Amino acid sequence: MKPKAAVGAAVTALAVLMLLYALVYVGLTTGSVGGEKSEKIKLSSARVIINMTKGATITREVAVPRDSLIVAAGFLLLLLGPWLWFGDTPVSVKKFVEAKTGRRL
Amino acid sequence: MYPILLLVIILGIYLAAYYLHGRALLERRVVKADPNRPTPAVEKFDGIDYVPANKYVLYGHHFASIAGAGPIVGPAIALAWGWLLPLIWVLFGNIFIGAVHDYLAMIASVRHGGVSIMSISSNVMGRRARYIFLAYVWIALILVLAAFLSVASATFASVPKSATLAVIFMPVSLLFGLMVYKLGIDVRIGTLISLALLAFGIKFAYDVPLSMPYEAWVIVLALYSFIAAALPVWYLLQPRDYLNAYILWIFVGLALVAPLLIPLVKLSGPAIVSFTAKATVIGVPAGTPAAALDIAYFWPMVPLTIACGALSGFHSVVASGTTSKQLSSELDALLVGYGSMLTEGAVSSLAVILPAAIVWDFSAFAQNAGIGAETLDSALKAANIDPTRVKNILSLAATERFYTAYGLVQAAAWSKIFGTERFADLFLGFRLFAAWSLTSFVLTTLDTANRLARFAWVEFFDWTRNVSPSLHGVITNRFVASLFAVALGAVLAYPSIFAEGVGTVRAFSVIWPAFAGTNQLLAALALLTSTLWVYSVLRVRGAVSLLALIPAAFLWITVTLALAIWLIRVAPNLPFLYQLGAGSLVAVSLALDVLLIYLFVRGLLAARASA
Repeated sequence: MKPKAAVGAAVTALAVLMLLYALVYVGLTTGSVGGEKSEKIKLSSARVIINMTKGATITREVAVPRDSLIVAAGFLLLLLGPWLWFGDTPVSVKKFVEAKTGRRL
Repeated sequence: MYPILLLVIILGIYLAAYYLHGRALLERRVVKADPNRPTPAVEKFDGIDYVPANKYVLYGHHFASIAGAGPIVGPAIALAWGWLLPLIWVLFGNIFIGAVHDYLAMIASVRHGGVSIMSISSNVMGRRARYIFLAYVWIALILVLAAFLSVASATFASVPKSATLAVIFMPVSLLFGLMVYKLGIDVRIGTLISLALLAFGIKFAYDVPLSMPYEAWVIVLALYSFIAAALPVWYLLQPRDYLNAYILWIFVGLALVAPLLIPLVKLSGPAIVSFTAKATVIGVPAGTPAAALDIAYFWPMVPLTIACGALSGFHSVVASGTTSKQLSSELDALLVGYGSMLTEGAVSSLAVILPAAIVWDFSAFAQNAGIGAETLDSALKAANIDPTRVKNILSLAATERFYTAYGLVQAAAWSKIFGTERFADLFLGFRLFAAWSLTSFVLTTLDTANRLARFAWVEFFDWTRNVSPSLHGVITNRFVASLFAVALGAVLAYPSIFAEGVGTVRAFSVIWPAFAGTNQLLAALALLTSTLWVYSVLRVRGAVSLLALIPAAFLWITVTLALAIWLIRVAPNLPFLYQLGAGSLVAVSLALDVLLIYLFVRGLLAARASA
């Protein structure tokens, strides 16, 4: 396995585990992901309101559920993992283009 | 009037349009499509953006990209004029303007190596027009990204079950693509497995909501848009849009079946309410002094309300952007370009306007459908709609009109089979399905818009190749080119703005009221470009050339007038913040409009002189 594909396989495995834990396990055991009782990560100054009348910017704290964050990270990693793993153009598409153009890809 | 009659008329018009106007005239006599002429997907194949696709897959992609919420929200708002006037505009605009606009933009791009309609303008209007056009579209796409980031984030934050489904839909699409493309599993088996997983996903999403605040969703979706726009089309875009097409067909199929089950339930709505409506119908924010103006004249203002269902400039960017780079044969363009546009019209007319016309007056509908006022009232209450306060469809907000009308008509139809006692359950189920159908296309638009912004960016900076090939390589790198548009879109979607007389609104919404006008102006300019291309490059002459010229001229006059009215009557009555944002965008758009029409006339005269 090439290094790129190995990284892709590892990222895919990590993403699947994250989704299985935070979406499936937490979701099925608690009935929701990121519900009221879930643990939150507090981000100070994450909400930004620009007050045009006073010419000032107001910021407020935003609480992001930890499990939802894991789902979001798994979702994004799953976009990248299989692409790195399987990333070449499909053979069927290559063959179609080769047949149409007569050139070898 | 009975719905079955209206259904037959609408379907008859669309069938006639596809075969007579689309195939016999546009395909065979105007562009003379040739299946043996190699397309850019084959000639410039790169495995990333230029990849030939099956025409049904591409149809799914094109429809999912151009649809978004447009064909639903616009006609739902336009019901303020009654149901007949929006229906006439959808049918007329869809066939004679929108489908011509989309199809010609796609074919012109295919004949020019897959470049955008903006770049094609340089062949017929000069390089100046090209760069103005590209910059204008890139800025418009930032606004689209900001709006969709905000709308999707707000939807996911307020309806957490829709977020769960969106998160599940993406891996299922990836799995489908890998099964078919990499593992060699038969498409039919792959489709069955994926649809079964999706059905399971819908059930899971119904039980397990995924909650996250608005700000977190904006960041996550911006990252999604950035990554997805740079990935190869065969990997995510094609399989996802193939599966999206199934949702579409079920959605439209149900809208077709319902009138057949309740053929004798009369329409309860007025054909025409008025030819003039309040300014909120054309996107003026409620609560502002301008909102109270009776300024929304059906003509010329209707394109500012009904976009995608009839015509939209964004379509030409998609048609000559992602779609033209994946077309396997020129003959596929009729189904993909022209057919997708008619399907959008079908969504607007059959899934939005017709159901609204049937259920318009709730008590009359209950009587016509024989379901009883009590049954209807309890169903509405179950959806948190107070039947003592909400007497007709116009009392609801735009998207609520759609969910409610679609759900009620489906419930009335299927309760003929499952019994009136199931009416409330059926209504809630179909209402939720309508909401999911609407949101299922949002993520597609989010990454397609960013991919299109990347194409516009790359075409805009083509001149750097001669200055420094290495600099050109960095600027046009697909990850670099995908970054700027979505980053700016996120900056506009993330913060809120507070101002006296306006209240607290999302930053992008200060500019958004101008978007409808600029988008339709883009449609007019793209159609003018295609018309000039047909005239000067294809050298089409005689009556058949009027198929493009008349709609182009009509659209340009309509949109220019609408924008002028907006600037003169609406803008002065808006709060300063909106004047600054939306007002200046409309003013700049009108200036560009005048400049580009000058370049068009000059190009037309040059083409005539050289003939």
